[in-house]
Amino acid sequence: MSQISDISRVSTGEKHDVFCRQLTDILGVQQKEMVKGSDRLSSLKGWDSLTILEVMSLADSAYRVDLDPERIARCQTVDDLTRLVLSGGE
Amino acid sequence: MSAVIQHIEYFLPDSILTAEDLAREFPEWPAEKIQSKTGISTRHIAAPAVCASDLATVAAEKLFCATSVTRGEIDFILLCTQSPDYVLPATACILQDRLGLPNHVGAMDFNLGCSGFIYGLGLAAGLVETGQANLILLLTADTYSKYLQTEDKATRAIFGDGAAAILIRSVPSDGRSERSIFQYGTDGKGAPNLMVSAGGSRDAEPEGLAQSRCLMMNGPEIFAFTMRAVPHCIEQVLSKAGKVLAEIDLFVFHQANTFILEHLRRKIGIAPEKMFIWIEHCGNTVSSTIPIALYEAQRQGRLTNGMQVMLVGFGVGYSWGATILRWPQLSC
Repeated sequence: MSQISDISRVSTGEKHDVFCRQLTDILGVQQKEMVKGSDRLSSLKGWDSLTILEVMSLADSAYRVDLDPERIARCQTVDDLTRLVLSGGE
Repeated sequence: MSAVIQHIEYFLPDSILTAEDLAREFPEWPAEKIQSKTGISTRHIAAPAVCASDLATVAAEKLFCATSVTRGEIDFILLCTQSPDYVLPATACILQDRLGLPNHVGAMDFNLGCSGFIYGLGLAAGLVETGQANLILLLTADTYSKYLQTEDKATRAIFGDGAAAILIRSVPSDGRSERSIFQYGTDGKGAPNLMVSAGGSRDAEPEGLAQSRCLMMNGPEIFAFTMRAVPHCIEQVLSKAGKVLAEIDLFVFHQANTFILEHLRRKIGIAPEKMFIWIEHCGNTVSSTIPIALYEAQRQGRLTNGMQVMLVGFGVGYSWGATILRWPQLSC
């Protein structure tokens, strides 16, 4: 997984790319290319309940954000999920 | 009087389900992914005709073989199960007869899952400390595999069947400590997130019966609950005991899956060498995971007499609980 020692030191513009790389890493070998903001989550290979747990874990440990599973379920695209994480889960 | 854990034995059914078996059924889940994410390589599955009570019987018989305890000494059976033989009578009553225990024993079931071992220890400690019982047979047993839908890869990858038998004996208090320390917690709003909805009086409509007999698990909600409840519960039990985290020698949590345990460990700030994980070869056996892990930690020399041990159970209900032991005493 992409290691970011302190996400607060990464500029806002870069955070989106960082999160996309992290999400790609979580999805693993089944996801051949880096995810794009417009990708629909449901179409990503490997997007399943275990992956959602890993995203929640990443948000907690790297972004200090407690994600509400119901809010994750309402996300349709990678952009939606990225915004949710970067906005602190709100 | 105070209580000590005198002995633990456990039993897993012979049939196993491997990560490779699951990968063949679910090609989108390679075996390496299943194993790396859950930490589980094999789960043991009870045969269709084998009930939790059958597993508990074997675990208890192993315990009688391994100790000098006679059946006549037992004066209470506590059975933690969510897969009882019948709606009634209590399976503990059936086990009293099958195990050849005397008629003067008390026997009761209690319906809890992953927090159940902590509650069982708490009940046993209460019975001992108030002089109601001297030698308690605490049994944990479940066959969750019977609740799992064939097509539900998430639950099939995690849960395994198994049983544990724990002997809890009263001993004179040593003067250092008089009573056990427990912290409990419950949040019934989480009930729908881990549920088998059929089988009780509030049955589903007949057309949905087959599915409602199966376990429904909302993994992300369970994860979120665990991250909320467990760290707070640990703070509470430490406060009750007048201790700090660094004083605990070994942490044995409910073995939900490796991913959750590792995240909890990092979040709480527990050193890797202080966290005992034993799930690879048995999976999540619900209320039996902690006694199985204790048995293995002791066998491997990771758990020795006098160590301060924190046990934490959490899951279905939502229900959770924690205790701190000065091994093997149920007090710290």
